[in-house]
Amino acid sequence: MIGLYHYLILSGVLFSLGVMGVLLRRNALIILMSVELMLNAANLAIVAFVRYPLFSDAGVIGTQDYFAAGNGMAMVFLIMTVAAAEVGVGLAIVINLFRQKKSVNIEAAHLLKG
Amino acid sequence: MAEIQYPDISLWAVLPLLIVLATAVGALAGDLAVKRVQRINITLTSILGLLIALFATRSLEPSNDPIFAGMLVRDGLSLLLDQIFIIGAILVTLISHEYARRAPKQYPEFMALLLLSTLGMMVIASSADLIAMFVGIELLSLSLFVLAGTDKHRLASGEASLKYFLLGAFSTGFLVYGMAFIFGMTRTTNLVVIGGALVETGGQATPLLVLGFALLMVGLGFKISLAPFHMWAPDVYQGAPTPVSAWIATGSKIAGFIALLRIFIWPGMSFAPLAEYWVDGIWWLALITMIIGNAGALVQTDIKRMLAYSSIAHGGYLSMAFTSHNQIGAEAMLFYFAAYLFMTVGAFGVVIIASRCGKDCETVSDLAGLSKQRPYLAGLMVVFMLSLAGMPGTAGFVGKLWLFGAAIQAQYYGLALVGVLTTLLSFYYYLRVIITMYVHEAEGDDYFNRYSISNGLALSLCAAGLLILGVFPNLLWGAIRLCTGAA
Repeated sequence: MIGLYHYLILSGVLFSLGVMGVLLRRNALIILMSVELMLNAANLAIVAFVRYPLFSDAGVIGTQDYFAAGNGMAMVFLIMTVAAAEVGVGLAIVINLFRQKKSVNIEAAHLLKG
Repeated sequence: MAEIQYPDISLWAVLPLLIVLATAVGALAGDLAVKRVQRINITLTSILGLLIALFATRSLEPSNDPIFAGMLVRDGLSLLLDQIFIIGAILVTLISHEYARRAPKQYPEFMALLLLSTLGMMVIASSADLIAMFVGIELLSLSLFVLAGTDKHRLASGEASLKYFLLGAFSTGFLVYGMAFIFGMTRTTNLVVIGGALVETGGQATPLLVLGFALLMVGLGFKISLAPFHMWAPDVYQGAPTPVSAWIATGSKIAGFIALLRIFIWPGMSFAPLAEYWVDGIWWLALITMIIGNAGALVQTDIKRMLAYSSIAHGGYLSMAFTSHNQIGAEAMLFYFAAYLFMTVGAFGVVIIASRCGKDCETVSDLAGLSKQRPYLAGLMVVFMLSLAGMPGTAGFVGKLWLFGAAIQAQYYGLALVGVLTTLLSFYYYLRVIITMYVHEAEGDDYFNRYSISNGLALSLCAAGLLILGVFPNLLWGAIRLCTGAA
């Protein structure tokens, strides 16, 4: 039986992949994709929490709010929207880098350090 | 059929936010409608809009009832912070006016983004729900990513914008994942509902909720550049246009702390009853941040990097008060926001105008001889530096005193001791700037450029604010007591 924790583990794996992608890859576009992966891992977790509200076991706060599911869904949609906006801004910034350095490798941006 | 319940749309209560939004749209539309829009018109329009928003904020009555279906709350805290943010935006507009001469074509967009970032901060200050807070944080961050890259002719600006964007987006991932777990464990995103339930039951955290807290703190820690998440700050402050650095250092940092304050310690609508689960984490962050910020500032020769590390250190002092999670801590943080805004915008403002013959002020030694040629400017810089260091008689001293007082009252003696020691250390690098200005002779014959009225006005206002708040802190303290006492 597939339950809440399966989805949470999957989202944890996706999130970790995203984090590792950001930390290890040097291509700005791949980093951008990894960030999207992190945001979508959060989306998956929220959707799973909305679908499986079964955790009355441990001392959870457990508010009985009928809007809760709607709240979570609204959050998912907003995260998707913000992710799209972030890609818009991010690609513009990466294009700016490419125009200056003819490369999308973040190693090309090394002017500032100290 | 079920009756549709319409949420309470109280446009009147968010009037200041709407005015700031309208001004931002106006700056963009003006650019489209008029062929060659004058820089001065953009500046004056923006300042006019911000002043109207300031008066609108002052005319509003605080209320603890959530509006917009529980998304926003216009309590004393949000009204006070609206005023701080609007004043900050006015000061940054004044110091940007002259700087924008380098790229006059982009000035309308610059101004619109500055106003939108202000709007984001105001949304964060008013949010009673994690969703609204997330949208505010992203509005702020996305505007700042672009602002950092507006100086397109300088390679460093594009690079700063890239670094800021990558790290900012990365931190958003942590923030959102933390919010996901908080939603999952509490079944709501609404801070008022969470706070109410916790007050009733006392509450106990599950491991996943604690994980949510930790992720949230990492995400917000990036945004307010707490060590060890501070690596981006010196690079971005150095590369970004200087007025933008000033705005990132002040507005964005204050907004991040407000998000923490709203989520974790504001009474009645936060996770305050669960303090035992998150307080250790922020204790370590505060400790490391104070040490790394001050130690980093000691070795910098670039003045913008020095100010960046100094702002990291001040973030450490603020998180020390945050760790105390008591009433005096919250009040001290609010007071320090105002003091910190004035002194940091002032210091960056001096850096903007202390240029000679097209050469920007980059290193601390570029300030040599300022006192002979521009004695008034040097005098203002002395006020800012002494206030940053925490000299009695300035707002920086009063604010720090209260921050340390909060830590002592909460019995975090170790943190307070580290705070005092690092403050003593910080005198070295702040006084070094003053000594450079007054003792060292300028190299070469280049004179410092003349500075415009707008810069002089902004810096004088900052210095006056610091001195007045330093001598009569009760002017602001009363307003702060009003908003924490009511909550």
